[in-house]
Amino acid sequence: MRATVVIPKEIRGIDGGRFRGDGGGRGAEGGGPLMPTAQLFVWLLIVGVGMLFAALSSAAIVRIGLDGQTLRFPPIVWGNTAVLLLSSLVLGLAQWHVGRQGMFQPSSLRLFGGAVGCGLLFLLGQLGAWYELIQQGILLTSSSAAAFFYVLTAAHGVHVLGGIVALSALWINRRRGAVVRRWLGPVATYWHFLTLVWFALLAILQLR
Amino acid sequence: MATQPTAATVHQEPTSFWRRYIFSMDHKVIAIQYMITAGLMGIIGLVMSWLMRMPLTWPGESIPIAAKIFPGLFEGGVLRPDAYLAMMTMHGTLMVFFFLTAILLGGFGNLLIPLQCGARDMAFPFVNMLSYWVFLLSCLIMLASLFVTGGAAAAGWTAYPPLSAVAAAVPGSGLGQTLWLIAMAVFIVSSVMGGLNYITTVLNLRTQGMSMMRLPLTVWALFVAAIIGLLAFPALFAGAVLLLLDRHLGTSFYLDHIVVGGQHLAREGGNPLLWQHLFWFLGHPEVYILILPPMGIVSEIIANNARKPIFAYRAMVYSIIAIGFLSFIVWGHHMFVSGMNIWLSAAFTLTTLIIAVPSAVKTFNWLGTLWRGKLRFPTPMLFAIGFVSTFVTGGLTGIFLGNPTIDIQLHDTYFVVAHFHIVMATSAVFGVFAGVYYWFPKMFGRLMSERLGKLHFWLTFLGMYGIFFPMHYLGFMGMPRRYYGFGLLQYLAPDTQAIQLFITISAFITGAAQLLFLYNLVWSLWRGKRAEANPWQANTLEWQAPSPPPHGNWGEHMPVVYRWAYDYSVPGASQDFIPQTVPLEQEPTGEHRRAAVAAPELSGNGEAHRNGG
Repeated sequence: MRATVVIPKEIRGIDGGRFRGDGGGRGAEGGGPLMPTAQLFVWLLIVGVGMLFAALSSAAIVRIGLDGQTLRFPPIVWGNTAVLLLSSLVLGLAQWHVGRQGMFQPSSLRLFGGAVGCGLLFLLGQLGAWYELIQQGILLTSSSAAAFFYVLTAAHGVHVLGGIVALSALWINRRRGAVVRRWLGPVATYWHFLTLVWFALLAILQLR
Repeated sequence: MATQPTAATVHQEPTSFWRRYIFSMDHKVIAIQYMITAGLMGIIGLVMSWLMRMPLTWPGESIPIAAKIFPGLFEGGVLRPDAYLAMMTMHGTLMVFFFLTAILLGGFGNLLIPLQCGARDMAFPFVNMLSYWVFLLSCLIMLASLFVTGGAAAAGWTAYPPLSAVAAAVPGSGLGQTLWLIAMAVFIVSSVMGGLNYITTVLNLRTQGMSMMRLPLTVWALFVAAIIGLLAFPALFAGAVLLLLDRHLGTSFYLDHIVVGGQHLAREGGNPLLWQHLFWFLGHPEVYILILPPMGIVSEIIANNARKPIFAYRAMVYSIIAIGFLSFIVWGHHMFVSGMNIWLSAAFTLTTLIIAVPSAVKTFNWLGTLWRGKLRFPTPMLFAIGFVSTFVTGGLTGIFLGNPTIDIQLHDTYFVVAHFHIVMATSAVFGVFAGVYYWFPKMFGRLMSERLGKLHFWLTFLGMYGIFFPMHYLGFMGMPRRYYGFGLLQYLAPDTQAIQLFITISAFITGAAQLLFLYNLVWSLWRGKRAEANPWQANTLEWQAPSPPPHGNWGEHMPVVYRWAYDYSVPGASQDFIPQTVPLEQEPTGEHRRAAVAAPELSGNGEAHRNGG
């Protein structure tokens, strides 16, 4: 027999809340969960990804510091930086619209698509940056600064690609209001995190 | 049993064989999948350890039976030196990561977290299923490395460069090492996916009334172990990526002026210590990932079989948290022999000694729980007490090794093998056995044979001490670890060979004893005595569900929790256990200290109850 009580949306699982996760998370205090489950999941993911970048960055800081060399970034890197920042801003704006309108409307969809487009442009731009370096004869093996530039930007790029996949999944589900409401915030949080990581990486790669 | 009529929409139980048993999203099925896969990896690791014992016990002697079974590893009936190094590397890797980590976090984590928190499943069942399949992929890649040209990785389970970074270093440094690194990276992805789910489920999906300080210690231990994994595994992932680049794309993260076979490699500026830092930043927390869940399991079983509340529950929880925190600042004690600033080594010594404090608190609390309890000795209890015994034995030698002055003498000897294996191969494995015997009735609805179980325990308990205790003596005598043979170096006393023989015989007997366990496992699945829902008369939530629990665990009514998990032998109660779902109006609670200040509890219909203990 199927019963009828609706599971609060903030504690539903990834399957759209058909069944799981109705433990309630209230504990004895009856105070509700710490934060929506999807948001918590993404924050924890950010912690894990953050540890990966922390490990790579600490290796970079020590090694580049010992070698005393830094890498002059190809100019396109600054353009890419602007595009990534723009993607975050546009996504934030889309998020705000969806928050007000309850779900995607044409205006917020355009903004959302713009953010995804900026993400893709950023990745293409990064490939361009690598191409420029290769043209200058700066390869993975040229110096520790070059090696860490390639490694850190590749690691960041892979995670940006993951973000684009997540945003695309949201785009595919744009008409499913519950999915959008539940996942837009967490995915956007992840995206903004990657923007922050990018600035941190640029700073680390310039340390001497 | 008090329940909350959430009447949640229980989704349709999958009916097809594939969705129900293979690509299942049910946490209980995934737990069994993890246990079976990890168990198989453990058996392979066990056989490898037998092979390693052969050249140590009978150096240069032909062993035709083994050579017939493993022709690729033997030459002239003798295990080849490169095969020995490969077995040593793979044994450590399989046992630490693919057996213990997988069975404890993937197996028991999946089985117990939703059931003991009172959830229907993990927060993200699809991710949970994916985690298992990615784990299986990592197992297959790791096993495939055994069959490639040059054989499996041979640089030790710690994979120190330059041996692991230069493909031409030794036979196993070739494709085998590359596959080792890829398998580890895939394994880490799986572990992180699992860990995210465990943490989210504990924090957000606890049932009504289940506050954090009412969680069973099993859940606390799995929760903190998952956090440790989430924070530590990415460092090894980073290290593995850099090592792959050194191996295949010519970078020099770990290499500096290496000469191989008379040829100078054009690599400079790297430092193998970078790998050691990245490896041990995971490597040391990893041993706590492996010991915390058994600690939780043992706490549960000891309280249940002493029919007493766990001694100092809060101290136990704080100790778990303290161990989790301190585990991140002790990794340098693995690198005393690598060369280290004396003040830094002093700092690592201090933190290493400090971590003994919460570990000792837990040990004293287990003893305090046992003290004057109405002790029962079913098989899980025997393994739990065996855990306490071996944890003390193995833990004490850890304090020796935390001191650089002693560690530098003993580090590369069998003393370390003894220490590590008494804690990991014995204590942690005893935790696994205790857990399997204890929760088998919940998983399959049948009890395991007690007679076979007790025989299994005694053979294993005595056998493990027989294997690992004499290794301390070998270490004191200066016998180096990881050596295939000693050739003409006759500096070891003649009686060491007799000790080696004793160890090997113990190893074979102990290994054979595991066949009893496997037989018991399979026999009990079909012939074991039918178990009622709560055969151990325990308090935690899983025992309020049918055995085995249905899909979704709780039917239409979610359990509501009114008390902690350790109300055993409460004065004035009608029986010597009170499940967490019994309202405080019906039975008193032994949760004295907190009872006086407890916040109002919510029942299923939102009515507030005062804790009446």
